[in-house]
Amino acid sequence: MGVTDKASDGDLVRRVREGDSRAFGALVGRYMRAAYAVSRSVTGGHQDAEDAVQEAFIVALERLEECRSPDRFAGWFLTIVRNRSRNLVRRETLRDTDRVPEGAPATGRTPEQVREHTELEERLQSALQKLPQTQREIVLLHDLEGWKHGEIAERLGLPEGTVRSHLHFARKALKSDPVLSEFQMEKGETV
Amino acid sequence: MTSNGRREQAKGDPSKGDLGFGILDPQLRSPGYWARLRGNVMERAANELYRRRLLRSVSVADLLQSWARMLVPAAAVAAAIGGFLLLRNPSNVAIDVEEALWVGLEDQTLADVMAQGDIDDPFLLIEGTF
Repeated sequence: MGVTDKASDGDLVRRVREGDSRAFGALVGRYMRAAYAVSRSVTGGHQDAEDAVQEAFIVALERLEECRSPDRFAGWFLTIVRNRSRNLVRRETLRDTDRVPEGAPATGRTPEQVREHTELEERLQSALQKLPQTQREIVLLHDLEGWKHGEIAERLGLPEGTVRSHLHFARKALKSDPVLSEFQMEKGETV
Repeated sequence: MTSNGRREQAKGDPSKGDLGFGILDPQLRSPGYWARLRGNVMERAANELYRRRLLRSVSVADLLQSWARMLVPAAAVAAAIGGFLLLRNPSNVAIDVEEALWVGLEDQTLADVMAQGDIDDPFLLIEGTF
């Protein structure tokens, strides 16, 4: 584990301001998954989420002087991610382009596994889209990125009780979603 | 527990309410995905990081020195040109306003001038003299 991995967000931000590549790499490594989760909750698609995440990191780097509390970098950065993702969705809507196909399947999978994976992904995404934006974000940060309630609360600037409550209602809604439960029953899995 | 460990636990523990969102992790479809994404971001950030390093290496002393490097030769050249022009044509030497007013006049006070002339009125005297 490198020194940069242990450093606080504030230290890393201060070093990045001076052009330290390793510090920036550490920030990217620390927040790329969370950024992806947040972006995916807004865009609903993989390719758009990836584009928005990359764009957000570059914008954040260029505007790093505007981050007035370096120790609260996460909240500031995730706001940029959210805004870039919304802009991207708006642009896509205006252009009305066809969706870019999702990423290539991993090697070593049978066509049947790939089909199942894609189908489940689409159903999960469809069920997610029915939730309010904040709940989508919290569910993905918790279930995909593995952040704890306290971390989500701190980084999104919400009370911890609100985060728990959002997560509870989101799960309840997802479990009762007919599209999702139907698929899980077909596969013999419990939601 | 590391963030990776927590991430894995979040994806694979149905007893804790996992709804299977781990399947949305792009790394499942494309091994090495996160390393590639990080590499792409670092590549795009290289110019900005270089610009920041460059700015940091330039101190205030460097800035003043770079000004001096330009200003000193420019001032020396301007002085040399000025000196050359003055020496080349001495008749063009500029005189100041006060000097211009008394050049060619005899060194007499107004009272002396009036005592020599017939005019009692100083205004008429000045008008006639100048």
